[in-house]
This record gives sequence, structure tokens and C-alpha cells, in this order.
Amino acid sequence: MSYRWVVIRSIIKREARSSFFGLGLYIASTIACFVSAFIFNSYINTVEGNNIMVMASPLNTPLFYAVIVATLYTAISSSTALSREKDKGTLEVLFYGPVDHLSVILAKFFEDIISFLIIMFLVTLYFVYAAIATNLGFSISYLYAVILSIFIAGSMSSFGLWLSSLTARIRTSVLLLIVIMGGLLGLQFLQNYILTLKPEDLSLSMVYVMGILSNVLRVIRWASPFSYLMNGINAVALGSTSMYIENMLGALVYTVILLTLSVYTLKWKGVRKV
Amino acid sequence: MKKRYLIFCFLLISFFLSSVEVFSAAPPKKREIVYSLNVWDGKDYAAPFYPASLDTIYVMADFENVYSVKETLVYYWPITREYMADWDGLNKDVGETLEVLKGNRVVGEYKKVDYVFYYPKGYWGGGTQLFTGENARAKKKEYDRAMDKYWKEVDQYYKAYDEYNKKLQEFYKKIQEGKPAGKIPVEPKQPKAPTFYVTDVSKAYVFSLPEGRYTIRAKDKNGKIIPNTVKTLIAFSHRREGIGYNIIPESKWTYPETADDSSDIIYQYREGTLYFQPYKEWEFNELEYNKLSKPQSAGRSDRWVWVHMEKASKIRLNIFSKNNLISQIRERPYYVEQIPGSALGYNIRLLDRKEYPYATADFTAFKFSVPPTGDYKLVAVDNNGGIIENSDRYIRPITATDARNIFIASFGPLIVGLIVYIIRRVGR
Repeated sequence: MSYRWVVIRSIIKREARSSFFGLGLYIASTIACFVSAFIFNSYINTVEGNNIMVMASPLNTPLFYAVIVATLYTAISSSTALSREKDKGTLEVLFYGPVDHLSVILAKFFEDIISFLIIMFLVTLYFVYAAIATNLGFSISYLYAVILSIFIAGSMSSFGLWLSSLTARIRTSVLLLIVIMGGLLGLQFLQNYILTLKPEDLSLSMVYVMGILSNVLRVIRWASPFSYLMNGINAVALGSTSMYIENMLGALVYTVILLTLSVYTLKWKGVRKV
Repeated sequence: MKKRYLIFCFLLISFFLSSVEVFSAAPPKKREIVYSLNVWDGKDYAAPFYPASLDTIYVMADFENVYSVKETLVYYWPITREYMADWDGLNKDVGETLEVLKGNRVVGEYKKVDYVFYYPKGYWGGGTQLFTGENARAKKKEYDRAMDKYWKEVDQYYKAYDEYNKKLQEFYKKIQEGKPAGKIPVEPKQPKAPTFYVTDVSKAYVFSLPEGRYTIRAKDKNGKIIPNTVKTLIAFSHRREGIGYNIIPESKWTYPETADDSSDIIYQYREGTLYFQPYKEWEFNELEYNKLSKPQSAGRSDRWVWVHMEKASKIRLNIFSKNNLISQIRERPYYVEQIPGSALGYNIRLLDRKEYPYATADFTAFKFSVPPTGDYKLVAVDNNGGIIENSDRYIRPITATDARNIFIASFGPLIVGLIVYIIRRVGR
């Protein structure tokens, strides 16, 4: 095994241990489950009110929100990963040993994926309970959605790492992440909302706004990790294998590009606190 | 600085002006060569029109469709955001031949033929059929004959009715006078109008195409291609066939739900009764199917929609629980009986034909009383006992009455985290 993998493994071990014994991961899982509970509650209310509800994969919607929470945790964790160590000066110390930029970025990335998998494991346990308690049942599409979510988490983590490589302070990293992620997520929710409106109900100005928005989103579609998540969930709901694979590959390519970019940005910006 | 302000103000004013709703009572009209079609949409014939701005025509493969090339006045209607045709303003037939090409090879050359639409259950009754050539003329004659016969019968009926009124007056007069009146005159029966309808014979290009992508163009009598008639023609077919269900819950019989895909799960609140109305359905690409009847509408090419074609007959529904057949259901007529008194409410009852031979059912359906627990699978089988593809649906009663436990359980990960955290702290 090359020295680089030994380094990566040791950093992953250290970081994963710290995450596992910390509370952050469990708080994120709880928030993910709590948000999902609202969707389960709405299902019960709908069936109670209408006496009937027809749905293909009822677990996909709560899972979608749980994945948003889990990937946000991943993004926040990765966006602070480098800046925190830069801030404390530990990253510089690390580089006096046999550590290079690529091994640091990969170690942080895989650690984030491990954290994400732990969250998804806890979320799945909760979903099993909720599905049994309500008799909503599991479908194979849940598994597809979970597999896809790992790729989405990868793209979120790589995005966070890139932001982290740009800055040397935790506060700046988190603020940058909140602004960018909030903006991207907001734009996507806005477009989804507008799509639900009937064209005849829209004023002409709204049509113009929609036109501008769709052009902006055409660019964002490739730049935002959330678009991979939303399109992926759509692919699962539609049962479109081609769309599913396209998203998976898209997220993978995105991750590789962002990780490469992070390595070069870290090299460019340096590992010292400026 | 001033210049910047001026540019900013100009852009701002332009933006607001461009956003103002335009209410035009009489929108400007433009002469255009358009395609006017009558296309089979799986249930009936739709009548889309293709203005010059649309370059692709969508039709269903292997079904005869009617194509007309017209010169008309086209205008934009901002309320619905679509182009409309003013057929009353101008409706001129254009062209002599319609050519269909696959690549550069001409695969069809069509001349105008006579055609009619035959509505077996009246104009609104559905089941429309298209007749062409001699059959069209024969069908029209059949309708005209039926109408002539009907008007003659109406004429005879009024005469007979006058006669009847006279005889009735005589009958009462004799009774009043105390004379023997004999038998009471019998009222003549009102003639029944033909239930079917046939349109006037018109001329258009009528043909069907196998699935594929084509080019269509119209030529004048000199064999020249008429400008703006060259369009792409997509003849599409369905991807899958299956059985879709309209589901009437007993508690809300006027609010049926649909379960069109096999992946759809039907959730019932605890125990209750569901009435299933099965339909033969075909699955189409959403974009193609939307464009078929409304060419100016949107749609997604990566999405598929099930379309109910006709009521599924000669089938029965089998209900399974854990792969064991627990029930075989047949279609029965039902009627809705309002609860007497001022209180609201109703009961759905089976219509017993022996007891009420002339009563009409409110609906016919397959009734299934969902037990309070368990998972059930519904499958449609044909007369030979064969399972119909894509007809299976899962039915699950929702057992939870409130979400309190689900909310409490969502704190599970936090408890796990606290335990791990404490173990770690104590371990140190």
C-alpha cells in the first residue's frame, strides 16, 4: 500500500472516530428524522381525511428531506474541515509529515462519506420503524434513492471542501456555504413552486421571471449539488433508469472535478493561516 | 454618473413596461397556411391545429387520422397564451397532394378523400368512428335515411296524436252524457330519434402511419411544394398496456381516486370498503401524448402517462394476501341511497335486478372490503383465468391513528448519540 493511502487511512480513522463520539452526527440524524416525521404525519392526516391515498413510493418524499438535512450536515462539516485546521494551525503541522494536499482532501472527503452513511443508517432504522408503525411499507425505490444519495453526498462534500480550501476561517466558510447553498436551494424551490402554477394563472411579468429563472437554472443545473439530488429523486419517482444513471454519473463527475479543484485551490491558497 | 442613472432608469422602465399585461380586445390576425387535424387520441378524435410556428406534428401510429391543409387567420390569444385560428374569418382548403417522407424517400402520397365521423351513441356519447370513401357516403346516407324516417314518424305521430285527442274528447263526452263509451283510446307512441349521428361528408387526406419520424409536405396542383407546409411528423405508439383503476371509497363516493401504475399503492384508513372500476389503459410518452391533442402545450419527454382507453369488460378481480387467493370479485351494479330525514348521509347498496328490474345503477364496480390489518394484492384476470399484465396493485390499510409515536421515535438517534457520548466520557 502506498504511503499516501496509509496517510489517508490514518486521517480518516482519526476524523471518523471524532465524529462518531461527537454529538453533531446524531443531532443531524435527529433533525432528519424529525423533519421526516412531519411528512409521515401529513400522510396519516391525508388518509384519515380522505379515507384513501394512492401513492407509488411514499417513503421517497420524507427521505428526500432527510437527505437534504444529511447532505447539508456533510457540506457544513466539509466546509469547516480545512478552514478549522488552518485556523488552528494544525493543517500546517500535518504538512511537516508525509502528508500532501491530495491525501488531506481525500481523507476529509471519505470521512464525510462515512459520517453520511452513519446518518443514513440511523435514518433508515427510523424509516423502518415508521413504515411498520403506519403500514406504509418499503419499496425497492427506497434502496435506489439511498444509493443515489451517497453520490449526492459526495458532490455536497466536495463542494464544501472546495469552499473550505478557499478560506482560512471557519466563520467565513460557514457563511459562504450558507449564502451559496441557501441561494441555490431557494432558486430550485422557487422554480418547483412556479412549475406547479398553471400558465394561465401567471401574469406576464411572472412569465418573464420564469424565463430568466429557467436560464439561470440551466447553468445551475450543472453547478449545484442540489440539482443532482432533486433530479435524482425525480428519476427514482419516475422510475427512469437512464435519468438515474445520468444523475449518478453527473454527481460523480462533479465530485471528481470539485475534489481536483480543491486540491489545486489548497495548493494555491496554502495551508497556513493568513 | 448621470449617464449611468439614465441607463438604469431606461432599463427599469423597459422592464416594467415589458411586464405590463396587454389586454387586447381584438388581437392582430395574420394569414397563415396551417395544418388542421382530426387525430385519434385513444378514446376519441381530437381536433388540433398547427400554426406555422409549430414545426412538429404528433399522431398516434397505426390509426387513421385526418389531415387538412388550410389557409386561415391566425392570432395570438394572450389569456391562454396560444395561437388560435379564426376559421369563420378565413377557411380555405389548400393543396392537392400530401406527401410523407421517411428521410429523403417518399413513403406515401395521398389525395383528398371523402370522410365522415360516425358517433354511435350520439355526439357526446364517445366511441367515434371514422369512415372514408364509399363507406363514408353510405354511412351518411344511412343517417339521412334514419333522419328522414324519423321526421316521417314524427309527422305521423302528430297526426295520430291529433286523432287521439279527438277520440279522447269524444270518449269523455260520451261518459258525461252517460252513453256507452267503449274502450279508452290508446295514446300513440312517440317516435324515437336515431341515437347515432354522422357528420356531413367532407374532404381531407386520411391515412395511418407506422411508428416513426417522418417529414410531411403539401403540394399544389402543379406539383410544387406549398411554402410553410413542410413539417416533421412523429407517429408514436404506446409503451405498455395495463389495467388502471378508478377507486371509489365508500365514505366519499363522489371523490374517486385513480391508481394507474403497478407501483401505485392504495392506502385505506383502517378498515373500509373500496369500489374498483377497471379500465384498459395504455402508457404513452407524456410529451408526445400532450402534443397530440394540444400541440402548443408542454410536456416532458422523460415522463410516461397512463391513459384510460375504455372500460375493461369480461374480467374479474382476484385478491391475494401473502400469495394466497382470499377473494374473487365480480362486477356488480350499485346505487346510492340517501338516509331519510334531514341528516346528511348515504348508503351504497347492491342493486338487485330481480327486485328492481327497471332501476338504474349509480355505478358498477368491484367491491372489496379492506380488513383492518395486513397487505393485499389485487390482480385482474380475464375469462380464461390469465393474469392481465400491469393490473396488479397493492392495498394497505393504514394502521396508525396518530403520529405521536413517530415524532417521539425521531429522537431515537439523539438518544443513541447521548449513550455513545456518555460511554466515551465515562471510558476516559
